[in-house]
Amino acid sequence: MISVHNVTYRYAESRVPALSDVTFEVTAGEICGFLAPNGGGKTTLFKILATMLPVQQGRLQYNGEDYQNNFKAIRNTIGVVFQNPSIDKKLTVRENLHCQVYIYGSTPSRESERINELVQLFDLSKYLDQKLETLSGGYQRRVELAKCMLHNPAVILLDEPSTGLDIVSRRDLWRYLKTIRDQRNVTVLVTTHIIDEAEQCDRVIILNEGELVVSGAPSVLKDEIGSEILSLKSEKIASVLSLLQEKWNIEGVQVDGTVRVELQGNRKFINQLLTDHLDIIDSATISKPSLADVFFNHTGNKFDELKEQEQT
Amino acid sequence: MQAVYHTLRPVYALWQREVIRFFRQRSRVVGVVLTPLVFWLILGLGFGDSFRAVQGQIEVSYLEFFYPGVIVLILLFTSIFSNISLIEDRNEGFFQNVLIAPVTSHGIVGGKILGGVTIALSQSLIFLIFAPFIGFKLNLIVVFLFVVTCVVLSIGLSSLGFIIAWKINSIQGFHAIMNVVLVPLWLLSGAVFPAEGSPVMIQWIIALNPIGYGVDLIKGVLYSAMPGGGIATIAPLSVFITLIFSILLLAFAANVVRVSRNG
Repeated sequence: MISVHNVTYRYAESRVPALSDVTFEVTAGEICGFLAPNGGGKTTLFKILATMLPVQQGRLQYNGEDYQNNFKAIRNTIGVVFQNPSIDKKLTVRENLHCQVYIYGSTPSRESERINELVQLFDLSKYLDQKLETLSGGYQRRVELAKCMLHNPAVILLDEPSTGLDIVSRRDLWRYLKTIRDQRNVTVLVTTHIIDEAEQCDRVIILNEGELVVSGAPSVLKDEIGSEILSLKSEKIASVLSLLQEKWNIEGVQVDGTVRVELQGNRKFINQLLTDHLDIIDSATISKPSLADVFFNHTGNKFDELKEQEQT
Repeated sequence: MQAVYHTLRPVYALWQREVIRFFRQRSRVVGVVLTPLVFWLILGLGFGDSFRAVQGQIEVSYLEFFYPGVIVLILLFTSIFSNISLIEDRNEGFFQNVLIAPVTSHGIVGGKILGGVTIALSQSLIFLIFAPFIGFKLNLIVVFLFVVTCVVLSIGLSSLGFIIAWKINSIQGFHAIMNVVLVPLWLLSGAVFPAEGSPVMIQWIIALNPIGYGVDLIKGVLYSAMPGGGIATIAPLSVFITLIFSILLLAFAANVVRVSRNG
């Protein structure tokens, strides 16, 4: 469906490439997430996939069509939801959808039928004649989704679609994305810095500093790490690290003020550690690995989701 | 035929959006009508009898002399300001989506500019109501020529606004260009004071300023129905330069979009 081969992109004002030798393939009907911290390259990749930036090096194909030679065909194939709304808030829902119909050139006879179909799908019937500025962020996102689906695209691209949405609206958005995928076999590509969101994808591609770090189904990526992660908070990190090494031959890793241990099924030492050395350990947490752990495992850097959200 | 359809459908969509938006923003509607009216009345009545200009063989009041200049001011401000939204729109608003749509750059520019032209034309037609009160005679031919002139001139001005908005990254920057370049261009167009009697350098600037030919054209159209007027009041050079000015800027605007959106 979409194949990206050795794509590299460098902005004119920068020495370091924003994307470096990125290669992956996405199959039809897949929800594929691009997870990366700020500056990781996900926005550049999104812009290239959306035909907003040229492919400087490498090759990008949609359905076997070369990107460089076929802008128009590709633009007909994709629907795009931008991070900042591309709807006109002074216009009503109906007017926004009509405008999109004309821009994408649907035949007038199909126009009303298509609008009605999507309005039903996204539960917008009650709001058709309301101005966008009077609707909540969640409903505005639904209009964006309806708008990008009007020309029946085979692929939809979403750039951090949950930004600014509350938890309920975020859940709604994902419900609709899965409906689109299931009912219409639409391929969904979504960039995100939110771990929970990435975990809902069929496949996640993790980027860091413009390079593809790892790619796979979230469950598979997490299983590769092990079943559990032990996080120990302590004021004396160095003491905890050497204790683990000397007494149990366990290698822990310091992440900020925490010692992180991949348990690999070995939990026996925890009781003894907490009983005998509580004086140097403030708290201990055992958790299932998340994609943040996968990111850490492959890059050695902590994926600070909260910091990312604040920056965004 | 297919190519024409592909160009025209975004033109229609963007034109319609522009017009709906304009009429839904009441302050904008009131502002663009009242500002030039207040400007015209204050300066026109303020100068009163202390200013006399000669039009043909006849002495005219400042209110009458300034009238065509205010029409150009309306066209300039409305055409230019209808593009100000582009600055934010193309990076984080409605235009993001338009730029990656399978439409031609001509269609995108055409729709946006036609919207600006429609708004500017409707403003100038409202202002035309005042023409008979200061002695201008209106008939169908004059109104028709007035509409054609305003459309051609505002295509040029709107294209100019489009290009500036496309190249500038902030609204503050756009206002700076307005104040430093566009307002002086209007002031030095023969709209506010006649070229005759000005220092030679000013006369040269007015002669090289394309907006000056627009002012001259509107004057020509308004005086064509006056006694001793006729079609001879419309200078062919003004027609030619206004046409060339608008065509070139429109083509340049389309090219700016084509280059920046990869096709």
